Amino acid sequence: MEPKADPSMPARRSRSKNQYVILPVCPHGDCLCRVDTLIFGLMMVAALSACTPVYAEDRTAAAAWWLQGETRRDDSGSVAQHLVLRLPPEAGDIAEVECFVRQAAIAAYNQGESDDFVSWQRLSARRGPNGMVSLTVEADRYCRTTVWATIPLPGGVAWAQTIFNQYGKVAEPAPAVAATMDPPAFSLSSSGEDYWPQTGHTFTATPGWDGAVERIDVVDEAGGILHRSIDHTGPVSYTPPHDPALDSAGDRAKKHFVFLAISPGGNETHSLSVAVHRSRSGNIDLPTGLLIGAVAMAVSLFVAVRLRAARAIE
Amino acid sequence: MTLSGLRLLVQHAAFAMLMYGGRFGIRLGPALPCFACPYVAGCGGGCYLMALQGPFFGLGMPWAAATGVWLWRAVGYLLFFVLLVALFGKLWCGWICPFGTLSDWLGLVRRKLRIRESALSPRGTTRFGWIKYVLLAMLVVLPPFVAAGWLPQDFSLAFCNICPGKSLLPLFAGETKYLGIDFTNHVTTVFSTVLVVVTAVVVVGSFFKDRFFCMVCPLLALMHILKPVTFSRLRKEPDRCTGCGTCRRVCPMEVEDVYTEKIGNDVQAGACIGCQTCVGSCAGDGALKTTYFGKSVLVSSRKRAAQAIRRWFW
Amino acid sequence: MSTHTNSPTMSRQDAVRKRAEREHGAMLDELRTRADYLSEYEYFMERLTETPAQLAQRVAMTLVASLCIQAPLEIFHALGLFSYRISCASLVLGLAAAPALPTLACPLLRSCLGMLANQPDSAIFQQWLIPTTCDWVVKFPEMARLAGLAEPDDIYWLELPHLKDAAASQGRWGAEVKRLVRHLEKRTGRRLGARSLERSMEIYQDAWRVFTSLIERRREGAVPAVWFILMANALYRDCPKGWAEAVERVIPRLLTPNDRGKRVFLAGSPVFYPNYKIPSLLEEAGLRVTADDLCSSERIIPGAVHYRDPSLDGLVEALAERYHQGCLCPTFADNERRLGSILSQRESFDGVVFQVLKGCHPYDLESFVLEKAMKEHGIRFIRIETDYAAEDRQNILTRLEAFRASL
Repeated sequence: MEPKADPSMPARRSRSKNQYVILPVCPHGDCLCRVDTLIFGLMMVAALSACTPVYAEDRTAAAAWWLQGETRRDDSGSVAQHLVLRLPPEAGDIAEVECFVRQAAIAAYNQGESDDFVSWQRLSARRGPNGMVSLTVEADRYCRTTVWATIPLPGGVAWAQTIFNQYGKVAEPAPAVAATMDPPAFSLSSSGEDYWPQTGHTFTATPGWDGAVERIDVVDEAGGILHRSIDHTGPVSYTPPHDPALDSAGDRAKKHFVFLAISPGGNETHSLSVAVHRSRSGNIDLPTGLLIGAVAMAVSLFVAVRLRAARAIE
Repeated sequence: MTLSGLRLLVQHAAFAMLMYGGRFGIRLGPALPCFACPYVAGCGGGCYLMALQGPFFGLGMPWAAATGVWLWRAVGYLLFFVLLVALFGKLWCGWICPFGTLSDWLGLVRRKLRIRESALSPRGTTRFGWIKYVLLAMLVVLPPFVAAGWLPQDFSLAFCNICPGKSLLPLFAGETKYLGIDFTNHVTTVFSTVLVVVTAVVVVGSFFKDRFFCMVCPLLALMHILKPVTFSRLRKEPDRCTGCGTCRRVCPMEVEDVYTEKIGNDVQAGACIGCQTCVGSCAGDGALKTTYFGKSVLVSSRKRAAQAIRRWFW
Repeated sequence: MSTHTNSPTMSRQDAVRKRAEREHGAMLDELRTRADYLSEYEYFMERLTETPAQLAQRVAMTLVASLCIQAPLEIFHALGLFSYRISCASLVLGLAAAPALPTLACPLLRSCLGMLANQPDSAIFQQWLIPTTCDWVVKFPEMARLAGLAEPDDIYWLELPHLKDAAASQGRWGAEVKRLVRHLEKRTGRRLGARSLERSMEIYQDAWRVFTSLIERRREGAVPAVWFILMANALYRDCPKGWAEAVERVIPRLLTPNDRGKRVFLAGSPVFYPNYKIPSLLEEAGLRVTADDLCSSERIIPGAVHYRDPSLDGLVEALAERYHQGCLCPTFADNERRLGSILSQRESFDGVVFQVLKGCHPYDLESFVLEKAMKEHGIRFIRIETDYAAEDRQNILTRLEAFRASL
């Protein structure tokens, strides 16, 4: 039964909450006036536009990824790869992060992994005086190293994975540690040399763990979106474009991009960071080279024929 | 089998082994005294010049890291190189080097067409030959500069970047990219342009002149510097020489020393590539001989000279 | 070519020819009655007794007269010419030519002049190709012209540089041979191709290969001096293929002696048919000739001509170099390397016999140089000076027997 109207109060129409919100500011009371509409619309726009950055901020902020630093060589022959873990704000002042390291022997001529040697170890990445959480992974033989970090976050967890080759040369390397560890892993394949990732190569990351993945984005070192996958159920491919700054910085310089898999609800993220160098062949112009070569050959031919001593039979 | 037939066989077997051996598990290491180019995918071994300049076990190592195992490794490869030179001497050039074999093929095309060979005058040959010492100096001086950061990192492997072996030998493995111009940055553009021009000049030169590149090869210079430790020698008994000039005429490097020497016994010139053609063609019994640890392994004889080279081939 | 404007009367020529035939006949009889005679040697004897006219008819090629060994044989062969090396060591014919030459003339060239003067048809030679080797050879064509045997147009000079080691000299000789090629091409109307020249070189290379096998047997003492020189002399009297086949027939018939006896190296002036006085005296003295470097014997072919450049220029240059630098004639000023031909064979002989033709000044002078060098190397050496006359046979034999005893 409809409530009796109180004659002392301005008249207002109340409707079901499923229809629209009646704002008390309307001077007209119970009518759907243009001001109402305008204010409602503005609020909707504000809410919607606030959703997206807030939405994205939530996705990247909840993810962590590795950045590969310098390689150091020790007198003993072992090499050490320095890694820095970029943490989301939700991680707070976490001092230590549990990490898993898998090292597998490299097949001859860098042709992938060989079954001769697979070793696992559990390490801790620690926060240093500079405030960065970092880890140093040593290798005393040629191996392909995969590092995972697992970062507990409020309401979820972030996994960070990265893969790189190491070329240690200790005379008597330590034996393999066959531990059973099974962190959730991306598998990574490349259209080029996987031991020397480069811009211009197409990298394909395939999630290899149980658990739903809602989407896989590709972001840069700072978290800026580079690519959003359309098909988020299967492997995602990305081709990092050539970078003039990287091209001028030398063959060893690198930059990172990150495959970022996000679970439904965003409470679990997995990242795979890939360090790429400048392309070794992407800027090669074969036709120009052949043209210059042909001209040089023609000039050389001319010079050779002209300079040949007049020794012919006369 | 004639001496030249044996040489042909060894040259081609070495070419196949050094160019494709890696695909079948042949790995002779990175310290070979010949142009077994590491840029050839699946090569059976690597030319020592790359190791010598390189940042891994050569003069391009970062100075701070040139200690411990890394230093010993570099020294080890150098000693292995010296041992290989000591064991086989200039045979590496005349019987094994794939680039030398390639030059001989180009010379064979000229011979088939019965085009007259070009030759520099003896003085011109000597002057031109100094280029190999300039290149050797470049090989030795530039890498530490790069390692110290005084030169851009793109100057690493400077000799390899202008070596015609890099552009020509990978063609036999289906790789054409080194004939292109690398527009990555200014330095790579200049280097790759120089490489293409040098390649063109060497191809034309090798067509008109036997073993054209060997006249300027820095490995030959290095091997001549190591002559005192080489176990093999080319010796002459001047008393048995009639001065017929055959040795000079058949020499692809137009070495005069063997012909002109009238007093001494050691006639292994710096430009000699150890092809043994002079010893095989000399009709003076015992006039020329190749010795190994002082023992004669090949002695000139009228009989062999009469049997040899029924039809020229090489 | 020429006509005999000042030729001797027919009866005088006939008389000389008859005496020459008797001389040849005596030589042939001597050869055929030797204990080591083989029927396979008949080929060589027939070749050496053929007249130039008979030879020209048999080979059906144009004959070019030549002296010495510096003009490359392969070039003639490739152009379809037959290089007839004028080489006749006849006492009879030499005496016949005596009025035309000084008293102390080279016996060999005196004999050659006599041979040409008494040929029924000296016009058989289309041309005379003369390298400027020793003085006698240089003057020979003039003597021939004087005797009415040649006209100026018929003579083609090859200017031989008398230095072998100097680069400039080597270049000049190369140019000279190339000029010869062009000249022969003009005369024959044929063009010299690289392929045909290479084929000719292969034929001579094959002949050299066979000759090397014969030389190997000689080192073992299996080839008597006279027969070896006979076979070598015959190279200039037939195409090299036929000659090589004939030598190959002889080789299996040779017997290696159980006792090689005293072995000698024969050096010096050339020894030609029919005057084999020196080699037969050596045999008589019990000396076995196991090596020599006579331009009429082991050096009849200059040796293997190796080359790297098969273009026409390359082949011609290779030939020119080999025929120039490989030549050990004492006409060269820088001839000290000729020692190598002796010293490289030192395992095959016990002593050196150096024979000089009277009037052969270059070899005469060289004998002194060689004697000193042999003494320094501790090698026994004997010098024999002679001519084609038989008067000094006993004298030489005695000396050779004494030399043998000293070895």
